Amino acid sequence: MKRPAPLHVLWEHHKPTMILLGLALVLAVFFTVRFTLHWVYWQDHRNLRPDIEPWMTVGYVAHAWHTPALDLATLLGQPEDIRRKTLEEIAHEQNRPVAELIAELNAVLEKVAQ
Amino acid sequence: MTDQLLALLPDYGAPLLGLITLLSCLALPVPASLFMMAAGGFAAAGDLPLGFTILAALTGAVIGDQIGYALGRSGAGWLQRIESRGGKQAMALSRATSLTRERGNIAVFLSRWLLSPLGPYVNFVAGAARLRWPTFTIASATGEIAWVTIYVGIGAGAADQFGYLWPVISDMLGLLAALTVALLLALRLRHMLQLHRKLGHKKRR
Repeated sequence: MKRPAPLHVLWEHHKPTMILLGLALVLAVFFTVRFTLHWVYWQDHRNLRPDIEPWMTVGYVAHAWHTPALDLATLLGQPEDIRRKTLEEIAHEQNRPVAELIAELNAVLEKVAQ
Repeated sequence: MTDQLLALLPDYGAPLLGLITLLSCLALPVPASLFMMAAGGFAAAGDLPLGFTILAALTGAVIGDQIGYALGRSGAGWLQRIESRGGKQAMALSRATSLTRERGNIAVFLSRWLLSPLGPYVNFVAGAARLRWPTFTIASATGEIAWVTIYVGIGAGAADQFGYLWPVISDMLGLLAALTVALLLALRLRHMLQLHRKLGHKKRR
């Protein structure tokens, strides 16, 4: 008598486990693809500065991009009061869009890098 | 949503981080690892105290694990009743729970940091399978120390790469978790196949 194929036996008797295994493998493929894309993107942009985000503080930006915090704060008009304030908060206090403030910071960092 | 929460970090710092790690241990969808990286960056910049930040993240995570374990434990009686009922499924269940009691500490430790997406569920299972409390607590605390140190460390050391690093890390964690689940299921299926073959031989004889 021919022995039934293993996959057939398992599908016949353990359908839920087989479906779960299939889902886990699909997820694994999904994450592999995404990981590869993100990795390649990262390697391509390694030398470029990642975006400055509105939730970052002046201190964070200064630390991450090795620029004296005081310089950045002076530029933003708040040399005494920079600690812990996010860029969003500073922009709000100065009544201007945070994107404008970030663009200014980017310009300064660009200059420092050169 | 994540960005707004991140913006609260410099102001609410350690307590907020502790709350987030606590919730993440209970399977709530909060990106705790991301927050620890950001907190590491703030700490390195001098906007948050480093020691206090680590301690808060650790405390939140350990308390979250304990709550998850206790929730699982409250369902332990129900599992025991099914086990005592007898039959094929009850036997499989009791094998699974006794395996968890013997080796669960490794699963708890690894699912704190390397396989972190599985962490909350491992807490529930550990409680439900009656893994001994001291064993669970030691594995949970050591694993959480690894988790917190790794992410706060990455955040502090690579603050400039934050925007690129996080997607890569989260994909890798997802991949590792999916592969682990697939491996466990495949091992289980292999075991079932062997049982089928044994039974088949017996029947034929």
